[in-house]
Amino acid sequence: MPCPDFTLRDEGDQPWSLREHLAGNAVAIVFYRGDW
Amino acid sequence: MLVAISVDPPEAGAALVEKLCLTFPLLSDPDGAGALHPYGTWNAEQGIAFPAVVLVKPDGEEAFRRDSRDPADRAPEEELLTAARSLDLDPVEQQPPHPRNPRPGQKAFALPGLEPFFRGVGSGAKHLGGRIEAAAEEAGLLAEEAERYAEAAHARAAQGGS
Repeated sequence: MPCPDFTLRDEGDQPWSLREHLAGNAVAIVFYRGDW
Repeated sequence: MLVAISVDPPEAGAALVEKLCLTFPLLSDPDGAGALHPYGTWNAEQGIAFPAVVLVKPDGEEAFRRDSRDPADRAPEEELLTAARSLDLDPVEQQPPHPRNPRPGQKAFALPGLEPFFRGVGSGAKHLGGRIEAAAEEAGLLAEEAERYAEAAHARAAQGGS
């Protein structure tokens, strides 16, 4: 089953989507608690 | 390619990118609806992400996943790197992040506080590992990790910044 796609805002407040970055690439997603 | 996701707003991500000189993007999922819920990493009690690492292949399938109970229980980097190497893909150059309007969160550590924090984590882990035999191995790994983080924090602080 494919991983869920998503589009979120990045540190520059720009949209970043998983699918767009998977073209020929693997993407490692790190989930973290934040507030560091 | 590496990306990290938390509930922090983009400006907090921008502050963290600048503080730690990160070379990968930090994404904002404030209510968890975009990625945290769909990936099953939503910590409803605290309204944040559970620590986890997911490696997604180019075809969208999952190649590796490790869910952690807390930040001290993260997968060793080598496990992720081994999984990534096994995909046998050509290396790619990751585009650097573009932080804008950096504003750290209220609980964020100032750069000078990171090294003593991680030294304390390492020291506490060593002591607990020495007292609780069943936890000795995990505590030892955490102590080693904390020491590496402390060294990295020291090196970053030596470059200046806040």
